[in-house]
Amino acid sequence: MLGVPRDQRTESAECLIREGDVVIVYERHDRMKQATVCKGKEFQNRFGVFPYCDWIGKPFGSRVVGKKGIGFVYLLKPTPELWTLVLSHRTQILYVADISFVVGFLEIGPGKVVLESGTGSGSLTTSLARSIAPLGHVYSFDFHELRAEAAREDFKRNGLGSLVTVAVRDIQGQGFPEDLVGRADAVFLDLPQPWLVIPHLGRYLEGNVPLCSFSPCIEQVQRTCEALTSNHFTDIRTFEVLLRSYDVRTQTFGSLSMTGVKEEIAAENLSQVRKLSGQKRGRDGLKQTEPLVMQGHVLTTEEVTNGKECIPALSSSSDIGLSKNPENTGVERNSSERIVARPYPETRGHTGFLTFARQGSNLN
Amino acid sequence: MSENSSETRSKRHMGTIVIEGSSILLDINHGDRFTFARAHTSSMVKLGNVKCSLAPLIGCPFGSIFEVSKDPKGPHLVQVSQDKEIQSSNCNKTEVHGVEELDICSDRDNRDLIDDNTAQSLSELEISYMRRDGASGTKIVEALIANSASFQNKTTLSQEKYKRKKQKKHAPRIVVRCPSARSICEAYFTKEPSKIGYLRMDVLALLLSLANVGANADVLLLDELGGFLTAAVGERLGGFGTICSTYCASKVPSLGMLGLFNFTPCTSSSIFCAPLFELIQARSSISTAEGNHEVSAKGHSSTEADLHSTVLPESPLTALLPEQQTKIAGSLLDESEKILLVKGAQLETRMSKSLKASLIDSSIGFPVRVEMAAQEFSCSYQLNGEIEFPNQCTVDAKSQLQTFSLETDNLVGEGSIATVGQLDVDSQTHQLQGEIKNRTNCGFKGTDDMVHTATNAESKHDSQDKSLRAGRRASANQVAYWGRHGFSSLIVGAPEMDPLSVCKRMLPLLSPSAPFVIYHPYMQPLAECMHHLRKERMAVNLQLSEPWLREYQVLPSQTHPHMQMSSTAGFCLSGKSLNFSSTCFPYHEREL
Ligand SMILES: C[S@@+](CC[C@H](N)C(=O)[O-])C[C@H]1O[C@@H](n2cnc3c(N)ncnc32)[C@H](O)[C@@H]1O
Repeated sequence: MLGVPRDQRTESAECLIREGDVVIVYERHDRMKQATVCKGKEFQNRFGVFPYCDWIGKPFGSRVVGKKGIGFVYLLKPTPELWTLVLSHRTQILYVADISFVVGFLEIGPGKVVLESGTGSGSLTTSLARSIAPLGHVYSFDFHELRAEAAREDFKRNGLGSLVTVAVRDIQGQGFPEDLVGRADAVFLDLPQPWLVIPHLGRYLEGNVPLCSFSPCIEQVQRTCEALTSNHFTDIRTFEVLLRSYDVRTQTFGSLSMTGVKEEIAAENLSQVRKLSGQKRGRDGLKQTEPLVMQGHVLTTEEVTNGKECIPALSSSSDIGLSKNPENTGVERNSSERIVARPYPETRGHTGFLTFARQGSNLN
Repeated sequence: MSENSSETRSKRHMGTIVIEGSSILLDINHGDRFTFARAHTSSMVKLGNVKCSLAPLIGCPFGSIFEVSKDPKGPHLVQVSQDKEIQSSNCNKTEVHGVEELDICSDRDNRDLIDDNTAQSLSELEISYMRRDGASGTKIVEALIANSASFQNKTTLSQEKYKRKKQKKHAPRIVVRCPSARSICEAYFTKEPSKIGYLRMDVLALLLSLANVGANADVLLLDELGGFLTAAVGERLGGFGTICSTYCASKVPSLGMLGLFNFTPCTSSSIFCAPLFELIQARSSISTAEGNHEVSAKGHSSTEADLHSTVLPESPLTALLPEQQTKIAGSLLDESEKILLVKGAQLETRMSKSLKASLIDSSIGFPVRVEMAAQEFSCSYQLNGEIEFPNQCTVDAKSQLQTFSLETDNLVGEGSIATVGQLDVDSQTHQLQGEIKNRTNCGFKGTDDMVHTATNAESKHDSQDKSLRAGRRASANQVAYWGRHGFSSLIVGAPEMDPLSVCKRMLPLLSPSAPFVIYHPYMQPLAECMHHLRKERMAVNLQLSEPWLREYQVLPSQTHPHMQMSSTAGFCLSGKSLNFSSTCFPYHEREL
């Protein structure tokens, strides 16, 4: 069950994988899939074939090896954050940066009642459910019947069925249902035209209840804020949240010599390195390797771990700082190896704006 | 369903009204200044150059707005209506941040405006007469506008600005907010970010998500942000689950920020503290029993062997601290724990002698700051039969962190009321003494709600206090439970610690597949940590990320990002722990 760990635990055992559990299959940092454990069936990926019956009884967090010892994967326990990364995209979804900010800013905690529209792929809903558990409830609305049904199934499969109600309804056209008046502790909108709903929200938001609206475009935000202002909302604030991810690896850097090295030698070595490393990459096509960066060479973790470092041998000991193969030179090759970090080039940028507001508490 | 929701309603109601003893956050002029206070009929708050009683706040809903009325009875707070407020509040952020406003959408401009104060025909003296006669701040602002020759010629925006400026000066607006993780974080971040380790509210929210903090979690924290992270987790769990704020034996944490929250008794009672070595011991005895010790000793976890072969002084359990020894002997600790305790105490004594060294290795391998006041050490080992952990009388001498401590006389001022920014809350001594009696510890905020719900509150207070106190020492049973199951999440906010050393000690305390997240002001230590965790296959799903937040002013034709954007948010390393026993042989070995 997503995010509600303890119920599952018995006194003696760790959290063990059971028939019917949803498991996040971790292949690599950028490659995860979801699977439902089902005896007699197998999980297949490009690394191997994994019979589910091998998984049953193992603790989450285990590493399992495929048939005939080929391939391995890690089996992780689902969390809303992992779920967001593996769910099937039926719509655009919110990601962890926006999701965490929404939950934090709306101060959603156990026992709260949250109204949401649209449900979309349920990425946000899953986190809302974690936060309101075990006593609260999320009422989520989407006017798209198939999406609502698919989301409902996902919630059920993840053990959130009792915490979330998904209903089909045109919220922009009809507003939230009458029987929810006065029951919400927070309202979240991810709709194309939130300004159509805002005028009708008053009664749902009585008692300083906060509202959040997500929109990708600034023009939508503009109209939303105008609607909020003219409907006497206060504390209107708009944010953009991003998360920049960093790639961490080791790299050796050359250092420029001031003494004792003939320039010819240096030049010679350099061309040698380029040639050899070119060959190496050809040989190791599948492996994640990096091109030479000036005189340095990038080591991936795999290379370091496997101890089969593939920096070409250099017979002369120049001190322009090229990586040296320990076997040939006896020089500590790690001497100039550094752990470095830089942002991934493909980091997701802007997803949208989050606008928050409250209906002011009135004097009575 | 209906039962559920009726409970929800009543709970919400409890949190929305200021009651006697509530912790409150006063937001003055929309983020200009923030002041924490405790709402007592007898406490006073200083606003500019006047002091007002907080009594009028009691019984009002959070979110209520007040201004100072200065009539003949003396200055006091009066509630003002929301409607008056609305006009100015929505476009206030520019002023808050002192940004000079562009005016791109107007046919009027300021070319003829002369700012020499001659435009105002109302004199200072006249204003003071008005005030003496009991005119409200709003009245004065209205009079100022009426008597301003230039007002009508200003652009709408400048008019708005003029009004706000005068209002701030003559009628400061005070919004009573309920101190929550978010509002406290924002208040500190705006005014004194160093006190919460530059943790921005989006980063806090991210930590709670990445660590999968939700009902029934067992959350482990290394919180060196004054207890702020611990409190935020407490708020998010709302009493469902357990929270353990751990620390090195020689560094007693200040969890003072717990006192700023209005926790329910249920929430307070779910927050514990425990020294790290105890947790490690409880955990490693389990894994030994399961026959995993070979793996864990192999570098994943710090085991007993590890613990015993440290920098501890060679001397046996003698002379140094006989008092502690007897006390420890009477406690529930087993033999090896006692040894550790006493050794730790000896170490600390040694440390306090060698105050010159700024960092040394403690018995469990953390660098330990030695600039702490000697009394702190004595506090940390007053172990009596109940293993009462006296975190609340800790004087955090090292930092200027407000400790909000409630038991130490000389801290009483800060203890009852913490001020961020320039505003001070004055409290009279006799009230404080009364308060100290009432709230012997952090748990007092838990009792607030009890006052609210229980009729015979006063007597209940004392009997329940101990079992409810947030941040109290975890019992041996509790520690054993965590040892057996492992924690389900880990959050680390320790800006002065090396993340890798933290991971090496603490990841084995987690149940496999548990999420962890480390917040750090610097990227490099996290990058190195990530590299090693990956290399040693201690964790997967590793991600090093930098949160980024930008607020926007959205107004017709004047939408733009706020100019003052924080660039110091720090970094987060997150991941999932692995099942160390099953990354097992032969595969494990082959790969290394
Ligand atoms: C971008 S998706 C929401 C994604 C969701 N927040 C998530 O994280 O997975 C927007 C959803 O709103 C729904 N929607 C659009 N207009 C609607 C309306 N008038 N009433 C109800 N739902 C609507 C769409 O069907 C779509 O599924």
